[in-house]
Amino acid sequence: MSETQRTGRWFGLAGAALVAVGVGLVGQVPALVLLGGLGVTLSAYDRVAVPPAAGVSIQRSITPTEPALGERVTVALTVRNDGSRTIPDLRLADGVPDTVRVVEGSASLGTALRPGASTTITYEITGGTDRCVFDPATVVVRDVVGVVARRTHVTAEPDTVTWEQPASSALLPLVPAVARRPGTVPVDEGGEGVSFYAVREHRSNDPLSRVDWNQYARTGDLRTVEFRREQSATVVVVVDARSAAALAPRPDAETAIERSTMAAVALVEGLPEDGHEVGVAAYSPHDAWLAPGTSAAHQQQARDLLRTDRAFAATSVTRTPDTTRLIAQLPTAANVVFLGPLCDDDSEALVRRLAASGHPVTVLSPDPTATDTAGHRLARLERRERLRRLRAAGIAVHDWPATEPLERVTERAWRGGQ
Amino acid sequence: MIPRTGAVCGSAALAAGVVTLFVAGISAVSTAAALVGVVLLAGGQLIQSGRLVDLASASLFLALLVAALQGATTTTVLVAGGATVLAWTFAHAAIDLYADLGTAPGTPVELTHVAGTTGLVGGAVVVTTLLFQLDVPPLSPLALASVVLGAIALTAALRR
Repeated sequence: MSETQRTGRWFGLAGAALVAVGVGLVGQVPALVLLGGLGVTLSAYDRVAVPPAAGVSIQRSITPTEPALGERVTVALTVRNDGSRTIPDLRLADGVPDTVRVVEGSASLGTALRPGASTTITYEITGGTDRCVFDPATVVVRDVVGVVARRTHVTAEPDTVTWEQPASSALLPLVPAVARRPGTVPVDEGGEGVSFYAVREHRSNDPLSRVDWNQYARTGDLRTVEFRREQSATVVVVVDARSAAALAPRPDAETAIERSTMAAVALVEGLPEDGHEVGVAAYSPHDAWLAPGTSAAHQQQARDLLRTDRAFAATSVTRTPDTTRLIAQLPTAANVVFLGPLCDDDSEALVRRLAASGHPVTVLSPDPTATDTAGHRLARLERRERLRRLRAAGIAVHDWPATEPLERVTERAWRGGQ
Repeated sequence: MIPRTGAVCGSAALAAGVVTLFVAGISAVSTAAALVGVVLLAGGQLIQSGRLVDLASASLFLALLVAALQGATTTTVLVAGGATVLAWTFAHAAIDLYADLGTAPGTPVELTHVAGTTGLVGGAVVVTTLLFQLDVPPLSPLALASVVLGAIALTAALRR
């Protein structure tokens, strides 16, 4: 289905021709009357011109086809003129989904195509957290002068890209908290579990399956094997969405808020699969709070909150967030995963307050710093110093470089590196 | 360095404006009007203003009228007229392309547009000039005007 419209580019040309004729008559200048004739000729073209047929086909290639969360995806779009006439003016805009952003190249193209000819544009997208479906590409063709245009939409295949969600084991290792119920967060305490913790003297009510029979055979003493206890956790993901966190290493790069929100979505989707309760809070001038929960409906609510609430979008409001209220909302001894660039002292102070309030804190910090100017280099050094101070205070801090996908950071975190 | 989309059309618009300036600038008044037109044309493209481009084209047209009234030859008037139309069209195309494509590649469209529009307008100028030079019984300006007005009426009737 296509629609044709006049662009109005030569609107007023007939009027100018009339003026030329009028002045030519009054001034007895035949040349101006002839100029009016030229104007009339061009106006006639404006009236009778028809746009070329939009007989084009479009193919899209997506690489990689199954990207990891945070990984860039290269999209190549090839447009081919399947008609029998040259298209002198073809403008194309790919239907990039709203949930992703173009970070390299352009999703638009202007070209001229002979019959059977084709051309390709390549661009990179990132920021997707789930399945994204491309809209049909918009194609506008015009005549050579551009006085008339035909607009149509062309579907290109494949039109879907799905960012792989990290397996739950790829999520950040949580800091052990007070024992609550069996789960996957290891604590420094013996009990039920799967990995060896210690051997202690046998007690009469110990199950026989945990008796160290080898020790009994060697020495005759009854000993009981203890395993490292694991527990489920109550986790609250706190996203730094203040204007001070809306930082990026380049103008076209994702901001720290966008990366933090993306990681938060991964956490609220992944942690409940391990049995953890997850809640969401914003460190922002606008309040946003979702109490921890594990149900599918709760996950959906958390996702919607992160994607649509103004508290998680970049804001120009510079009002200081109410941190006292934020901390008061947290359940007792809840694990806190703080997501923020730590580019100012206020965010460092909040992390310290959270830890001082008895909450085990894990920090995942997207690095938005650059090194192109002396000022940027200084900001990078200051941020590193903040990270170092927090680590020295016993807080688990994971630095997330702008060039790395989230998965690589979590892999490193599980290996024990920071 | 990535060429800015619209640069080809913008340069062609300025070149056409300069052609009008040189061809129609046969007196101080027409030269001044054409000079103002060229400056406004450059300014219009710099700030991406279609209205300023229209104003620039009006100024070039004014220079053309003044030159014709001050005795410019028929060929001069027609060439300056064609160049004015080209300057106006190219400048609008440059703004339009930049608005549509931003930093996306668009040079093939611009080159095709410049070549195609120049061919169309240039062809119309050549045909009109040749028609004027045909050895036919002389027409009075009133008769010629009647023919042109008839053509305008016919063109208006083509409105869809």
